[in-house]
Amino acid sequence: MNSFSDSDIVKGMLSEDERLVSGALKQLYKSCRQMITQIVCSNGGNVQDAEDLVQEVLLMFRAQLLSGKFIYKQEVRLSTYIYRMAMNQWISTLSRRNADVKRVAEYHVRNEGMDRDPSGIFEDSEETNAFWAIFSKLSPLEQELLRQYYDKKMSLEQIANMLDIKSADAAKMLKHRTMLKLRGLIKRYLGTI
Amino acid sequence: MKRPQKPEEITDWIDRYISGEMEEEDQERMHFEAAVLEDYDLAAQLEEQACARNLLEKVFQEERLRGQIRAFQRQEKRVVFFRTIVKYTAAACLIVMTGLSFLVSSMPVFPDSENDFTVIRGEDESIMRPDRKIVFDRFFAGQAHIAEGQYASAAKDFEQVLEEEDLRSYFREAAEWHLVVAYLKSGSLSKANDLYKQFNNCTDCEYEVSRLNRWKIWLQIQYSRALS
Repeated sequence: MNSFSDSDIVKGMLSEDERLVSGALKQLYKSCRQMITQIVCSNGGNVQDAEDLVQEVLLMFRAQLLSGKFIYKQEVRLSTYIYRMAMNQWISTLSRRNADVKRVAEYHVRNEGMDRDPSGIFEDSEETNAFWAIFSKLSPLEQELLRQYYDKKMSLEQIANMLDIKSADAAKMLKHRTMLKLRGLIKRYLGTI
Repeated sequence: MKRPQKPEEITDWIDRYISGEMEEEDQERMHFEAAVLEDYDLAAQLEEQACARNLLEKVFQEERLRGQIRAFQRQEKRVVFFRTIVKYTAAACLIVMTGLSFLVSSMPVFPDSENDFTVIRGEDESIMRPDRKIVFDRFFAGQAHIAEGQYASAAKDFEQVLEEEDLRSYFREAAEWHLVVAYLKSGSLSKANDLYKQFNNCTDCEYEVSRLNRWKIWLQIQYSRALS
């Protein structure tokens, strides 16, 4: 039995409470997974593609909710909106793949050794993609340090032990340098601070 | 209150402010805010740090949500896998049960049992001694009794056949196999089992009963013993 209405899902997704977000996300996942799998599998994709698309669409939908690009209206069902999003996203994935096939050799010659440019991504994609691209410019150790400190709320001493850093002071210094690097990357790729 | 001097301590100071670790009426907070108003560089650092924290918050939040969706997907795969296992197990059980019930309920089939002339192979019936002829007649009578479901009579017939000492191995084995079935069907299970065991490790048997029919007989003996 579906205990969540569309408006409940929207409210849950916009909530500050992570449990409500998780509940709404699960409900949305349940209601759209089959539909998205069908879109992908009947249009040249496989189950793995469908799983990836489900993740992309749900995260994109939440980003749109948070940014105000999607405004909930009672007369439009969420599943209809999600269907259109999934369809558009899948079409662009397919066209990107087809283009990739043609351009892949050329691309590799031209961009050999070059990294992903977050500013380019920001122009034609969602904000979070640009954020991810910037974050991925940090080394794995730097990423993990920030993740453990800011997201998992671990102490610098615990992080030093976990990441094999000499001492808590060294971890503190590394965190400081990493934040400076991150701020520099944001300035460079997003321009405004 | 002293303002931190080292750059990494300033970063920590700003972090504490952004994280809301400084209370509203806290001296440190008032001191920090006053310093921001006075120091353009510190204000710029605060803005940059807040922006970086915002980016991290979004990245980590998306990471968590993506992790949750992956967990839903894994959970669903487990459910689908479990259902598939249950489905195939049920199908396999059904097949096994059907097979077993077929083996348990159907009659064993012996070679040429419809009209077993091979048992009198090489013997000319027109010049056959009357006592020999009686033995063969008993054998066919036993077969007829099995076919009619008169297993006790069939057992007697085959026992009488086997009383004759001068029998070819092929014919003796044929009679013994038939006797096993007659015993089995007439309820003399231990006799059937003892006789069946003789054939278990037989390497030079001439009367070849197929493996399927051997299984059938063995299974029927065990099944009947279990029921009784």
